[in-house]
Amino acid sequence: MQPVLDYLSTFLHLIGMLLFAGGHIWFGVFTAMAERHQRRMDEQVLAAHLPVLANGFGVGVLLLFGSGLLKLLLWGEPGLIFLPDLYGWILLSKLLLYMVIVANGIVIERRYLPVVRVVGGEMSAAWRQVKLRARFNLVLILIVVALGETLRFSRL
Amino acid sequence: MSNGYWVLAIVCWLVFSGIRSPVAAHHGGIGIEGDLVEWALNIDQWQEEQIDQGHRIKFLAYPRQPVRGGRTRLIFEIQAVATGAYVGGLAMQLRLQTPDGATRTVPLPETAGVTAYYETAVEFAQVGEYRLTAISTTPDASFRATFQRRVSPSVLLGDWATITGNLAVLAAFTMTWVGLIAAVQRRFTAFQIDPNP
Repeated sequence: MQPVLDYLSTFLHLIGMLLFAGGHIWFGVFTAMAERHQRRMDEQVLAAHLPVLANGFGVGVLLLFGSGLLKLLLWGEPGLIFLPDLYGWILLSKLLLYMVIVANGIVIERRYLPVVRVVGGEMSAAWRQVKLRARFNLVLILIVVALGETLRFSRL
Repeated sequence: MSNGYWVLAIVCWLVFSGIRSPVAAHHGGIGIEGDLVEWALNIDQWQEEQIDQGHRIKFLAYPRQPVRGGRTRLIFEIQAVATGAYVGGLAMQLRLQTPDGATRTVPLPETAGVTAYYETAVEFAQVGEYRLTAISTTPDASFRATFQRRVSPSVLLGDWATITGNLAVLAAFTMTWVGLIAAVQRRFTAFQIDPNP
């Protein structure tokens, strides 16, 4: 049973990464392309799909945290994040950054996402905030992914 | 208190209150280097070693954090320092000194089929620092080594590493839960007017 759960948690972690990290990367790429070519229509299409994107990111976060917690439960107990080993400090850093990412996501979700609008052919200030905060989250996500890879290879 | 916070409290209680790693599920094993997955699965054990009278005494405790009332496996692996050979067939015993100073001695039999592994399982009744002394009473190979393990009242209140880990996981869990509630609520909220268009 344990190997199956171990495999499942790894698999779900990867799916969560695809949804959350991959989604942020693509969102960042498309918004940057729209800005560079000054295509308002593209930005409006992206903004129109924000609710769907937010759903995907939300599912990704839940998969990432749920599968990570399942791994800790399989290895022992939730408090066992391998401190005071190097492995533990890296995992603690990941958890702290994860909390910042989720907090930023909550601000986007609650404050800016409901008020993104096209005003006189221009995107609203809320859209600029969504882009800015999504990019900030992307940077944090990439750091977390890098820490995860460090975690994976730290003992090799 | 809203329903969301009640559910959060119940889930936290379920996750953190009843967790006990089954002692029997662990196969022991002192060497954990090598395969990454094996290493990860074996990390929840305490290891240290001492050298006395030409013998290296490797000590392993599982689970890593002894908890009052829970059974803890104590394993001692004996190796000759000069040759590196594992030393089996010894007459071993374990002396336990409780935090209040009382001592008792229990036999430390060699595990059948595993040379040089001397193992017992104990249930710690008191919270505090225990002194565990492995003693060889074999006439031509006498040695002893004393190790200390602090017994905690629960899995939540172990050493600083355990407390930090629990707090970090609990904080991340709470943040995730708050995010989930906020996101679900937002989907049932009417669209607002941008205050700063």
